[in-house]
Amino acid sequence: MHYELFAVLCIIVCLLILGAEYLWLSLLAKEQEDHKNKYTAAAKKIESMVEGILYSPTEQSRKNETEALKKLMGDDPHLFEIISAQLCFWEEYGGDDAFENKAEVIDSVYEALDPVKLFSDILKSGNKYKIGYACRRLADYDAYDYLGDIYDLSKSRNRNVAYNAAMALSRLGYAEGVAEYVLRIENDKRYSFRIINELFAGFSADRAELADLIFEKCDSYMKAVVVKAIAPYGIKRFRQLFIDGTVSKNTDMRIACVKALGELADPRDEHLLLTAAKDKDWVVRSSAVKGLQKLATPAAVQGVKDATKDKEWWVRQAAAYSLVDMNVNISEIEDVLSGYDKYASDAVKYALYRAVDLKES
Amino acid sequence: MNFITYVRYFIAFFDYFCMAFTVTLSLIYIIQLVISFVRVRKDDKLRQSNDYGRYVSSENLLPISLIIPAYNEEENIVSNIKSLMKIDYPQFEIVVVNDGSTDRTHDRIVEAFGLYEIETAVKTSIPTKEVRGVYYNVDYPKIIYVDKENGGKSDALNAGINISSYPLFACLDADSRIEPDALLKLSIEFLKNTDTIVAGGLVRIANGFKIKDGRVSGFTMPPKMIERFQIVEYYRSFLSGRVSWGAANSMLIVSGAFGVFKKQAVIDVGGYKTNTIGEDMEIVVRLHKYMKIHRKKYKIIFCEDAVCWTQGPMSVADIRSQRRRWQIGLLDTLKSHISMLFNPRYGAIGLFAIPYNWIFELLGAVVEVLGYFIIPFSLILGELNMFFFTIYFLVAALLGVILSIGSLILEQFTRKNIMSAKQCLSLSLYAVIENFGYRQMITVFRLEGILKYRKLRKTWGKIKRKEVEQ
Repeated sequence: MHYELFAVLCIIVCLLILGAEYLWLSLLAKEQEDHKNKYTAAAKKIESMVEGILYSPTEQSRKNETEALKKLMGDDPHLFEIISAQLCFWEEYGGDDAFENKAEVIDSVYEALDPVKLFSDILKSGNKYKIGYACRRLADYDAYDYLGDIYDLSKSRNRNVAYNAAMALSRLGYAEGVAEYVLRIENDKRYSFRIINELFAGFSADRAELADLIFEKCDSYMKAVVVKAIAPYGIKRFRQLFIDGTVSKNTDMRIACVKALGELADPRDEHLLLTAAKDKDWVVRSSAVKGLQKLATPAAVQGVKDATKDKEWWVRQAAAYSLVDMNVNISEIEDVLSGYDKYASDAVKYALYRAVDLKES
Repeated sequence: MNFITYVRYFIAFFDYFCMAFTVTLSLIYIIQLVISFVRVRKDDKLRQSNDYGRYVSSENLLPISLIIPAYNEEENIVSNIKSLMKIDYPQFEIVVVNDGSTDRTHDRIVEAFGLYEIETAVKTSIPTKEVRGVYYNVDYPKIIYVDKENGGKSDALNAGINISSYPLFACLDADSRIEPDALLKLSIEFLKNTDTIVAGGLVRIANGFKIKDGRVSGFTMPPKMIERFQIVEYYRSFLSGRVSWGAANSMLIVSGAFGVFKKQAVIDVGGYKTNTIGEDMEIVVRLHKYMKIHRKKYKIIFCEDAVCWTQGPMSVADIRSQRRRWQIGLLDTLKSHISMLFNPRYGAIGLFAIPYNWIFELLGAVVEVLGYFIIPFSLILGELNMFFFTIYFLVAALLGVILSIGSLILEQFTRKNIMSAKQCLSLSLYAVIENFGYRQMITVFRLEGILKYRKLRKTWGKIKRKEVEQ
């Protein structure tokens, strides 16, 4: 009897779960459909309203249209993004011939919509998933008034919030705040490399100042990461640091410094890059080859030609592409093509095929 | 005791074993479903703050080589390449590898893009069958076309890896379409965590969906029942199964239709295994094994937000062929790595994922099909209590339906907003009826795969498919 009761109970439980699932599914499906319909309809309406604002015959009608748009948007950031996308479209492509003050009108629409208030409200909402997004958007609108709040959020224990806040600080050019964040994450090696790159890429103020602040307190790993991150910006004041790094025992540091030195393209560093092109590590050699390409001095050309005979495939390829891209005298290329080293010749041939249109030949 | 008594004991034992097996499997699936719920909901919330679009212009993003192995793909290959050229990704190349096709695949590609043969300096990291030629056109600098001798899909992938220039590669099916931002979403996983070696995307059935350049614009219920069942089935398999295994870093398969790999990791394990048709599973298992043996930290990630569309089989014959191949691939892989079974050296993979696949995914088909015959037989003989059997049958069927409907709910959390509420609810009907006929048919095909393992294990499987983009 107990078994039978248990069995019947099992079936009842299953049926209840199934019923609940059906109810949930229908609610979710309806919600999704309403959501889709709402935003599809809103997007259409926004499209015509933005056009209406831009082509308003009078200032008053423009004001009224803008007010209506603001009312439609309410406090929905998604609708703001739709409006923003429309405005961006007009800014880029539309209406240049129709009116002269397009930029002014678009600015006035943004002013009326007040995105800073919209996103600052989200900042106070406490929703950890939306706070990070709000930080980034506030930074996009140069909301320096919220720098303190964003700085506090960069210390958040939630990784996502802290990361987004740090990116916002970077966008706002707050070097101290960004440096503090970097030093906080320096032990997380899987995470920090990408973020440091992004922070430097998005930094709106003096990158050298930010790098200085980090160099003051960071460990050797972080130093190499920062050097690698600032390499593309060719910051000349760190030249001596880069030079010292080319003889470091730390391979990552050597790679970073050779890359950075290569970006500086300073003829005084020719011999250093030529030495680095013979380093025991192939990544250092490959980075040196790219640096030599930028120098393009006769000795650098010879260095690149030598590198096409490197034992490592990747270095040979990098050297071959560099040689082709350097616009050297054709005899230099022929020299490698007809040389005794088949691997060097093959690498250069391949680079030529990838760079030159050979359909007719 | 005589022979008849032994037989009766066996039948009675098998009946209860079969029932326990089915209920246990359903419960495991439901646990997976719960884990997936937590995961998908969290990802959904994270997406609200995620601005992955900013990465399009990021120099951090690793460049990707998209490798498309093609064998007799004259119908789809050109349109697929054209569709791939439109993806949102800053730096990528498309490596098309023609694996000795016997149709006009070669001519179609060469003519469509005006390619010409070039001399190459390829680093042969993985040995492959002879490459007959490499073709290129500076007007289409993103496309590299490799024409090689027939050696199977794995060999074609290995040739693609050899010629590819970038640190990440994605293997794509010639007859699938990826959403324009899918690659970006998978590639970000390699930035978020540098230990990531593989990231798999969600494969969705394209039947019934209107797709243009990988973007979905609408859905109409596909005409055939078999296509409708597959839509539900894929949701269940990917959204419930892979999300949960991925969450535990124990995913054993990344679909051959869409996955991104760290090239060096694949080269380190010797590339794709060539004499198998389950190369997509085998490479992932081998990567797990290699990483565990060498005590390296690694992540194999599933990202349900990165979507690839594939046309599901539209006839019973095609689905039969497909499922047989999947089962053969599973058996081949599990057999090749039997040393991992219950081996604590491989952690959760050896103790849970591999045994689960042996017991439930592989041998489950045998147990289920035997059950279809023995249980009714024992009912006729009176060995099985009718009430007990009815309860078992109802519970098993209800658990199956709970699971299928649960997958449809999960689909809602991915916020793709493709189907209307009405369409979604009508699809849920197929989530119920697939448990009465379709699933049993699939189980029989899986068993057939096991039985025909020796005969079919080294063939390129081809299924008649319509164009994904209609």
